[in-house]
Amino acid sequence: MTHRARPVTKARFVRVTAVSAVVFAASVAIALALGAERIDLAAVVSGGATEVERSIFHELRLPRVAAAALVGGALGVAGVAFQALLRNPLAEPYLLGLSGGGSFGTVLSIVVFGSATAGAWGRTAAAFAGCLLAIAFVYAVASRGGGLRPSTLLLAGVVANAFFLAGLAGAQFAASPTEAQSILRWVMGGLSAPRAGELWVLGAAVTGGTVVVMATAPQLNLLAFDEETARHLGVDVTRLRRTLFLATSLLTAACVAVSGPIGFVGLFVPHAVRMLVGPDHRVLVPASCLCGAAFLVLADALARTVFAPQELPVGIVTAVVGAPAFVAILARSRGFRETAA
Amino acid sequence: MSDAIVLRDVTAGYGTREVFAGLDLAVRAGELHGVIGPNGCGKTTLLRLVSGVLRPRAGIVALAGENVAASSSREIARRVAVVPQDTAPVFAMAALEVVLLGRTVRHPAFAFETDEDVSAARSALGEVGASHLEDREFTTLSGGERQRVILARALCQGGDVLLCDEPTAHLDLKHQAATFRLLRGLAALGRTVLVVTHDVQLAAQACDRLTILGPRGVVAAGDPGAVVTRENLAAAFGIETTVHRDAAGRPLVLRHLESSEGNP
Repeated sequence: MTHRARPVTKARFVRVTAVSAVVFAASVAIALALGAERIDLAAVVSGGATEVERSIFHELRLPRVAAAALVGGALGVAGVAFQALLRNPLAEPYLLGLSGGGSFGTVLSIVVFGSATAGAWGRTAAAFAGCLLAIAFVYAVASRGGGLRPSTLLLAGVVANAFFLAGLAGAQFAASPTEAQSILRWVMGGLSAPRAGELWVLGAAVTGGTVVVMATAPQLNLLAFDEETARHLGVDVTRLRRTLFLATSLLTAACVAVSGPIGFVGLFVPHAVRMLVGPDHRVLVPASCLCGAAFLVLADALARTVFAPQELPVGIVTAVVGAPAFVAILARSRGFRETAA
Repeated sequence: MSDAIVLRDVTAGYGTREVFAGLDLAVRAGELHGVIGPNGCGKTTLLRLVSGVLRPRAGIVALAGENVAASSSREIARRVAVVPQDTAPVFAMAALEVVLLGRTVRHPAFAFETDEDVSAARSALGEVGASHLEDREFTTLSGGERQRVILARALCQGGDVLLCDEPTAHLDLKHQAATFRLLRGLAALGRTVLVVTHDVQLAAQACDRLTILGPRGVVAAGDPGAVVTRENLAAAFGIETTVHRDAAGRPLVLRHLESSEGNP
């Protein structure tokens, strides 16, 4: 089977990243124009918009699109990192129990301290603690007896998810009917216009996590080949794993604290992008970041407008769009082998 | 001639299993050194020790006098290239992309490929007679083709030591000969080549020196003509053989199937 070799030169990196950036910019333009209320974007840009239009744009739509972009980008990057790290095309934060751990941490912080007291930093820290707890558990289970068995890690992730979902159900049971309703809605994965403070926390965490993953891209190429090869080619695999578990926990935690667990982005986007740009992480990471951002921005625009003025949780849209698209990719692609061993 | 690789009184194993204890081995700089022995005697473990992937439980593994345990993975990778037995990526990669992975140790932690890298990768593919495989997806290649691509990756990686784990396992007679010719050529250019193989005949013919490992450590080490004897092969493999000599005095080994003991 021919598979045109595509070395990653600087020129190719720039080309792929630029095209991804254009896709992202287009998605942002579309999402800013769409909404329950029609607003004239040209007028907003030129300063000729009404007070109401300016208010909708600056206080609601722009922060929401920014949040969708940051969350989508982070999930795309986390998915790519996990798939290489575990040498498993099915790995993503949702499946590995990280989203569940982060959600549990966030809900616990809200139930114990109240939403206002916990704040953006508090919620993110609680989600980060939940993610770390989840990853520590699955790592400890999968690395018993030396080495790290990816298949066991996925199974441990399923167990962790079940545990944290039970914790979430318990929190809902203990909460008042109003709180329980808001927890349920949050667990479905939804974006609302975040406050500036929340956006800063999200932006800082997502930037930090993405920079770390991008910096390790050449090592991810070797690890995705196989662990022994990575070691032979100079990668300190244990250190790389620890670094990436921390970075991906940070990415997942920041997302979960803002939007609740959103599935399929971390699974579907890396696969789709890999089919287009190839498996090299030096182009795959930035392209998945930008395309993940574009995907969630558009999914959220749909969630806002399909039943306007009612809003769908965006997690439902990503699943409805992502699941059949992922099946289509699987049917077409012979681009990966299962590594269940 | 100085020793490029030295193992002194080395004990190694995995979990509760000890593979060997008190092993001594020396490989001279610029020689093609073969290691033969039965299944499970620790041939691959030996290569893992030299490449720093496995730390010895006791004893010292040294490269040109420097303790491997004191070097970082990256420092070792710049000096030692490895051709493992079997390896494959999870995601689809072309053969040229696989070979280019070898160049990562020559670059800073994050870098893009240059024209020079691509030329080096193509040249390495050419050296192993695999230029025509450049755009083929690695996982669709035959075992022998994969082995040649991985050897090309090791050539592309450079370094002064090359470790090969069964480099001819999946190759036909022609490519077996070509691979050992290539390894001899690399040794002639000054690279130290340590080859682990089950092919006693090929190793005896091609290697400058041989080490025969048995279930209880080193049985014999030295010139192939001196160490490939009926007694040493019986001690290592537990089989009866007849060892003839060719015109150059190199051993020609004939197995006695009927007298061989044990299960396959």
